Amino acid sequence: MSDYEFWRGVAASWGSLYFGVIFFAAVGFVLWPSRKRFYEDAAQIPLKDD
Amino acid sequence: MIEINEGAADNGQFLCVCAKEGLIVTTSVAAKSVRPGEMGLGVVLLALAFIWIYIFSKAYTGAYEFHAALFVLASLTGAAGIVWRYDRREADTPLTIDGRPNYNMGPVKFLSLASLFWGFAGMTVGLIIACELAFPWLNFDTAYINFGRLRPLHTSAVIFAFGGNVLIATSFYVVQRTSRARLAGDLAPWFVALGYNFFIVVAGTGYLLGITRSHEYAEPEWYAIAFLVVVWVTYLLVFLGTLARRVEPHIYVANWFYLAFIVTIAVLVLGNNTEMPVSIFSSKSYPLWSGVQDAMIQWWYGHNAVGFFLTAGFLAIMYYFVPKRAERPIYSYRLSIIHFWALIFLYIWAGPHHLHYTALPDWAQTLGMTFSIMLWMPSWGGMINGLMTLSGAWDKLRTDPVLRMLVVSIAFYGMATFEGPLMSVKEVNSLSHYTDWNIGHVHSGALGWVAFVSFGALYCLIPWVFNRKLYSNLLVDWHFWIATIGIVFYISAMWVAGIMQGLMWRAYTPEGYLEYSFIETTQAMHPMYVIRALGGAMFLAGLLIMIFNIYKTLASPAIAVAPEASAQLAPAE
Amino acid sequence: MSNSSGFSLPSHKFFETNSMFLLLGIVVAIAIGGIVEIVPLFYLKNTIEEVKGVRPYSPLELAGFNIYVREGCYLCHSQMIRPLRDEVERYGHYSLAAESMYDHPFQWGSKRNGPDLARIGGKYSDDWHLAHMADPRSVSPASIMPGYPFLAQTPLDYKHIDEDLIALRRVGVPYTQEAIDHAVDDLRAQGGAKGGDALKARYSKVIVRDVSGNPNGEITEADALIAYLQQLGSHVDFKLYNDAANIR
Repeated sequence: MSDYEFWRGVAASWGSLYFGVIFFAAVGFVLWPSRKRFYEDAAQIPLKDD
Repeated sequence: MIEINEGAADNGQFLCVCAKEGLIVTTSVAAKSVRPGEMGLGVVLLALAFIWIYIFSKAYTGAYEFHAALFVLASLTGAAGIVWRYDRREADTPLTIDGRPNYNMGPVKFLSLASLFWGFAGMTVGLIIACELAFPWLNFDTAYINFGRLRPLHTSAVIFAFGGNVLIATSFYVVQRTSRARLAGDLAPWFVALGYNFFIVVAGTGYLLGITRSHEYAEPEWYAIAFLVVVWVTYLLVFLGTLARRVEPHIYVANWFYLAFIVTIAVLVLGNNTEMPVSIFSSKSYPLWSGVQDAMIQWWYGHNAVGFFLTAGFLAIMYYFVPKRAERPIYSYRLSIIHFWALIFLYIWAGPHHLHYTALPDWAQTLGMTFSIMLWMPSWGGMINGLMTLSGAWDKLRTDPVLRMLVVSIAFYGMATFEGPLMSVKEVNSLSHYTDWNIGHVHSGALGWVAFVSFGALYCLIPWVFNRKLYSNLLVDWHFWIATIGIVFYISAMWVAGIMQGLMWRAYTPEGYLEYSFIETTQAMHPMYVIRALGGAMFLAGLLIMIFNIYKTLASPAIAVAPEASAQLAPAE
Repeated sequence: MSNSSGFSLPSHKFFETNSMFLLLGIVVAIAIGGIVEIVPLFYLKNTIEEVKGVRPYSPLELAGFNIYVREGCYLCHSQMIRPLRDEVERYGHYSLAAESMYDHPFQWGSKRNGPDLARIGGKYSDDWHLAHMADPRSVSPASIMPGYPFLAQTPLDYKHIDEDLIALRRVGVPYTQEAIDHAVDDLRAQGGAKGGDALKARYSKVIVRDVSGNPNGEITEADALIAYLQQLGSHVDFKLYNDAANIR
């Protein structure tokens, strides 16, 4: 039972914060303006002919 | 876009090499030798045949004898096939021809046609069981075609046979085209294509004969799964090997979804199939886990079969075929990255929403519900990304019925992924669980999303790989409208049936007694079951139109693209 | 080729250009949820309530359980009564995790085309079940259940039933060596042959009778299935069960 209470507490506080930080870091990463060209190149892949 | 028939391409390369090196044609032919893979797989298949002959001789049941015989037959056929192919193949298979990749489209052709066959079989069985629920005398008091045995046949045939063949076909196509490299492996792609379909035959006939593990969507017994694992690992290796060969620096987003689908299905199948066979001579096995743990692992598997087979895999199709067909890049490549990681991370948690209010501990139910609701966001992120790819080119929906099918599938995806989180809320689930609302929800996803996006992809893929022009756009239009109306009949009937049944079960008289007996709720379902069967019949009719359209397409002459392509249209490998 | 990510931050290019790391990233992302939800179920003690009375199936009941699985009964009948007022009033006490602890595989089901069966045991007579399986509409005119007349006509194949018990013992069901050695005898005894006392000593509350009334004393698949159905939900004595002690 104590195990359960402990982990419930972690999930509701630091756990949520931890995943929240990871999420926003990941979004920030992806939206960083300098990488725009990189993604635009990748998006063209299906449209290229060979 | 140029489509090169691979047989012709081989020929072209052959001449090219000869010209460059100043050799005579015959010297090159004489150099043909047995490849290690051909020798190795041949020996393994012969050994397998002997093992299964031995099992056949001691099998406990007739049904298992039948499966042993199937395995013997398949192994020997496979070994003979290797010899047959050796006689016909070129001495050397070049990876590129004139600097262009020498794509291996043989397995893609086989898989795409197999998917049409299985789609027809699976949906026909679906229609039969829908009729059985409306008119129970259709069970005919026999073992082999009663509802309990046909229902897993229907679900497996449409999900794993139809859907699986579409996924493997498109993944083999997309990974080659977006990597600009030939499919890895020599026999391996064919082993995957034929082995997977053989697994389906074993699984499907098993259900009819009463061989089942009773885990929904994971019914095949231990020996079928053991074989599937070998096929699936080969599939993963072929996929990774092709990526490793790529000329493109990027791994295109569709390939991540395919990879997540392949890897996660492997993990799920291994996790949900830990079992103890009674004997090597018996088809029966007992799972390692029981009761509540077995339930949790089963729905961890079951929900993620939806998440990674029916969602991630088909999103991969969306990310390639929608941009390709619309001739525009995906709306936001960055959104696709967030979509991908959020989707695969969140999906895996959602399983417990299948077990609300059961004996599963509350904390697990709460986690399942929370993550199911969060899952709404990445799902709609993906939907927006797919739909907005059309922005600035919406007029194409009027002129291209194939693109319309693809786009409508994305809309259905959005609808089903809104309904899903809604039904995962415990209060809603207390009404919807155990009712036909689930069946309606599943089919809005399965018919509207999975089947439509598959049809759309096949309408693109089959003409591309067979180097044909699609026979009729008008027939695609007919297919689209008949199937769409069928879906509307189907899901609205199931909504009404499900909500009505849920409400009737919990209805009380003013005196405080339960108002309806169970059988009264069953009776009330009858008209809805008839309408549902009608909707299903329409959907199947649409598929028949498609099969006719594809047949006429393949019967038409090939398009002359390159001189060498029209000169020799050899069957693939 | 892209060269735009030469800025200070590392980039998603890492995943996009390296398939092995992409693979690893996927495995990590999908592992977390599964581990958090599944692993604790094996070590949190309160996952399965401590109750008296739940016992492994007798050989005949086990054979019936396997027929229940084979025919796909779980596709239309749940065995999981939820703690909701109408369900408890309709079917009986809500299901406990302990009650399916020897079900390999679990039979909770997901759809009710027919009623829940978690507590069907003892609600109807054997003859009712026999008639219902032969022709469901003879006892319940509006039923949509398929008929299973072949069950009462098919002799039960129990030659290898001891191997079933051995396999189940390997996955943790507490069958004794004695139970395994006498599995075939126990099965025959429960079907109406001699030797019922040893069987009753091994399996508490076990019901011994020849259900199908086959004149030549043959045990049929219907005998086995009905033996299984008639014990469903009857192991735990709910007069002695303390709900409050097991709230999770």
